[in-house]
Amino acid sequence: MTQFKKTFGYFLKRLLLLSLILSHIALAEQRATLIFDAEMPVINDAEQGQYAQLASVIDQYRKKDTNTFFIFGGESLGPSMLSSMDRGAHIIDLLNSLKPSAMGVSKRELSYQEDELILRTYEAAFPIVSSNLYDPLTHRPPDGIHTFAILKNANISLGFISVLAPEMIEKYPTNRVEVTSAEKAIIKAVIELKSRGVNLIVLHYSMYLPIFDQLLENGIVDLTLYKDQYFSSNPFYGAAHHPRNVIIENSTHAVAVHLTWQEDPLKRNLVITKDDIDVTAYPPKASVLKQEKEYAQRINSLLEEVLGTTETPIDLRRKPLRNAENGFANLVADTLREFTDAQISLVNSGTIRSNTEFSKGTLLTRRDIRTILPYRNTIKLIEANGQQITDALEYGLSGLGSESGQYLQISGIKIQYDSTRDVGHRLLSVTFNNKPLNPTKSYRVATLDYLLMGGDGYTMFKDNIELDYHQTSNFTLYDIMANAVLQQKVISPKTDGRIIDKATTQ
Amino acid sequence: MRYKQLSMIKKLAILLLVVIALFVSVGTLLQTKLEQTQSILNDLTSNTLPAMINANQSAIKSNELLSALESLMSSNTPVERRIADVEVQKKLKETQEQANKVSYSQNELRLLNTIQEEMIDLNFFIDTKLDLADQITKKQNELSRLKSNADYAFQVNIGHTDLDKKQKTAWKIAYLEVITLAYTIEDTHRLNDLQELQRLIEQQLSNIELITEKLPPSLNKRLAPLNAAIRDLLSGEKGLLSSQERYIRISGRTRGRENFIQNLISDYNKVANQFSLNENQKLKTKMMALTNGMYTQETWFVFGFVLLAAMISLILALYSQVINRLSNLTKRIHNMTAAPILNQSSNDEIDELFQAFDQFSDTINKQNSLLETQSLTDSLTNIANRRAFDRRLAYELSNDRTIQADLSVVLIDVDFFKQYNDTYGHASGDDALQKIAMMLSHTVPNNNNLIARYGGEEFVVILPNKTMEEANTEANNIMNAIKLANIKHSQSSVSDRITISIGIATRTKGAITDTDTLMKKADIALYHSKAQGRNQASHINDIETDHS
Repeated sequence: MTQFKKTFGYFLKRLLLLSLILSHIALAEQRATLIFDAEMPVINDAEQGQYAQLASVIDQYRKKDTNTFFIFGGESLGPSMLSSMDRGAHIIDLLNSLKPSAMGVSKRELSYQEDELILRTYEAAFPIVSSNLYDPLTHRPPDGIHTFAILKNANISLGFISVLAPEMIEKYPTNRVEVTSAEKAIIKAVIELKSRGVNLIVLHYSMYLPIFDQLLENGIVDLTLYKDQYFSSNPFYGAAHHPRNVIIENSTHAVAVHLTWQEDPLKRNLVITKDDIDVTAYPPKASVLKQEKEYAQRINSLLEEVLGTTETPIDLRRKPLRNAENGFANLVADTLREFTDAQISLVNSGTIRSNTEFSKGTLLTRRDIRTILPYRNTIKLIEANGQQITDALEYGLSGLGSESGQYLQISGIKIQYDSTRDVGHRLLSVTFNNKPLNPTKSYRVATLDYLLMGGDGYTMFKDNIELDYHQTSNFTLYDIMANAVLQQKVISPKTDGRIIDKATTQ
Repeated sequence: MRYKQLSMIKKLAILLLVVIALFVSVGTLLQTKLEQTQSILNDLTSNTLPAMINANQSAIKSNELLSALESLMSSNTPVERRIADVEVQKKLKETQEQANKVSYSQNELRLLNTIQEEMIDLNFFIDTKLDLADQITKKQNELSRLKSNADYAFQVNIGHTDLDKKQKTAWKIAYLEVITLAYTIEDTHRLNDLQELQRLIEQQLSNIELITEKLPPSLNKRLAPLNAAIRDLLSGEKGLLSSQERYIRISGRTRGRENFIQNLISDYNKVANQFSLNENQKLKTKMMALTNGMYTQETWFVFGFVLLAAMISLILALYSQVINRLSNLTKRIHNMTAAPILNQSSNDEIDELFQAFDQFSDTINKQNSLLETQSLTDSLTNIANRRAFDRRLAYELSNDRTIQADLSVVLIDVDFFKQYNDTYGHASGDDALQKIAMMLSHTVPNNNNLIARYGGEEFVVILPNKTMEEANTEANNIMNAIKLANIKHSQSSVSDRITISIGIATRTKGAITDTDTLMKKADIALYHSKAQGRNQASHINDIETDHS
């Protein structure tokens, strides 16, 4: 009996060793599963899908197929109320419980600058991949960030690469890291991966560009993964996409990609099918839910404090907020202007989040305001001339239609534009105190450090003089808004015609 | 003139009232201002300054708390951690104490409580982390021990065959490789790298076991425990790999928690700083108000004094104007009174004015009596006086009129009038005379006739164109009228009322006589009436007839 055990153990061990050695040699009738999800910045959000629910999904697939990889597409380290406190550490902690095979870096992973992301890579039990991030300080990819990852199991070796759109730097300005050309980075990584003998190459991206479909077409990459709940506002939305370009548009959904093939060579007879998975339909996994709840309930007593109520409905849905004047945004811009004693204030509408609506009479808690304004951007007062302000406004209008967060919400001035005109010629008039803005005159402009750093592509204020505004300078927009609501008790945000689109009013 | 004097008084009064009102209001204002200054100063010293100091202290404490937390975060050894923890707890306590002195809102206090709660969690993490670090160190030491055991085992157990030796060397190499890999565990700070390392170690451990399987049983027996020991040490739930994994994970959580607390403290710090800034701003505003207040007070003082001076000058101006006018008036009065003014005793303009008035009234009295003498009306009875009578009689007796008609004179004397005066007093006497005069005026027709007071209690009536008979009739009418007047006279010997005696004289048409003669005749007739027992009228002609 013991002899049998010994022999059996021996065989098992041999088999294991063999499988390790021959791992990349394809065998007949093989299959693997790839689960992909992303965009989960808010934890314990039953409406958008909890991490605990995603954990159940993964468990279920892993049970069915031991060759299951879980790829997380990021876009989750920020912005959220909790991330504004721990800079995304809780997301990594939760992800560790879900054991991803790899995680791609999306733009929001840089919400708290590259160094915080580097710290997160130390905490992550999985490789964090970004193929086109470059740190000029070390002449390398940022410390801890992998340019690719090889996901292996008994019968398949997957090369995983992830790219950021170079435009990302505009939205999330970094301290020093640069985003290099996605195409070059992909090709470089693919060559490297091929030399290491991977069977398939999986590309993850977070901002659609036609090049990805072309790469699929040309067989440079075998599968692409993309999740963007706002994909419909992308100008390329309507274009035809390669069948292996896996795109998730529904924010509550994840996808399971099944790879099946007969024999070597793998590529020639690879069959890819996919399941759309509604994560919210799954029961939460108890252990993860516990962890998630523990995090979510942090500083609860602090956040449950009711600051005031609103007399008017608040609409913070992405589309109206990023395409027109918004009552709550007006209040934010006005509060910012008053706090700094500025003449004009400019706020990029991407700063205001939550994507929800609050009905009339809603009690607003600290949590609500923190959810609406999750970034820890500080408030700045600068001196800018009329021309710079006009340039900024014109630039803000250039993203119209794509629901870009660069759309400016204003205070102190009134503008009229025509959204049907060409980019760069949309702004019709800017008035300050009912007089046209003087291009050469200097104005006191309040805004966020984000915009001054060039965030959302606002390069016009980079060299402007910062002014003192006789207030604690490290206050965030959240701080002053929470205070404003607390002081006013009842707020009534409304529009007053400060922004008029001639195309919609005529 | 009188109106203007009143206006002057009014002016003065109003001016005085205004001055008083101004004085009072300036005074009140200054008082209020002073009180305000006082209260601002009090407020500054007892509220604002301490509040500002507390707020500043609170902001400083929160800064200290932040740096204490940073040293806790960077502590690597239990000792460092203990020291840092004590420091954090101390700073947290101080921050809390300081916060209690500042009128923070509920939120700030809640924030502090949350920081404290989070600190407890953090401490737990740090403790766990340090425990794990300790365990890892111990396991690393164990690893060194295993290495020397392996060395010893390798040297002692010499293989029997070349193949055995080869196998044993292979084992030694594999074993050392595992140990080398295991040494890198401690320096692996990424979970992902650790997993890779774990994979390699597992692979190598299996490799060792495979090699050992092939060794002769005796050797196998000796080396197998070493294999088991290293597997125990490295893999499994209590293995070094697992400890390191937990260490990395707990470090990540600790970092997250530290960030969390750091942000909480930084939030608190912001609030404390802003609060402190607000308090400083308040102080500044109050100081500004105080300075401004001082300045306004100064202005008010100056303004008040200027106003007061102006008012006093105005009063002086008005006063001198009044005095000037008074002395003008005095001069005028002097001019009116020819007599020189004796002003040795006069002290001022007012005394002078009084003296002038005295002289003026003297003059007026004199002039009045002069006027009286020149007057034709008796001032008591309001009928013609003796002078008017004399003029009229003289006129009536003039040649032109003598030819035209008769003329009678009726002389009336009140009986026992001295007694009346003595009994009823002079005022009643005057009243009686006025009544009699009135009765006379009513009785005697006013046309052409003249009724006059002849003197004392004597009246006289000139009746032009009246014959003796007509005069007698008129006299009887008069007698009756007086009787009807019914003026009570208790001391009269002839009646209980005032009675009169009458003497009548008539100058017939064409006859020439003079006033004295005619009046003498009337007087004789009156005397006759008196002599005959009073309360009767007598005509001179009747008496003469009697005598003749």
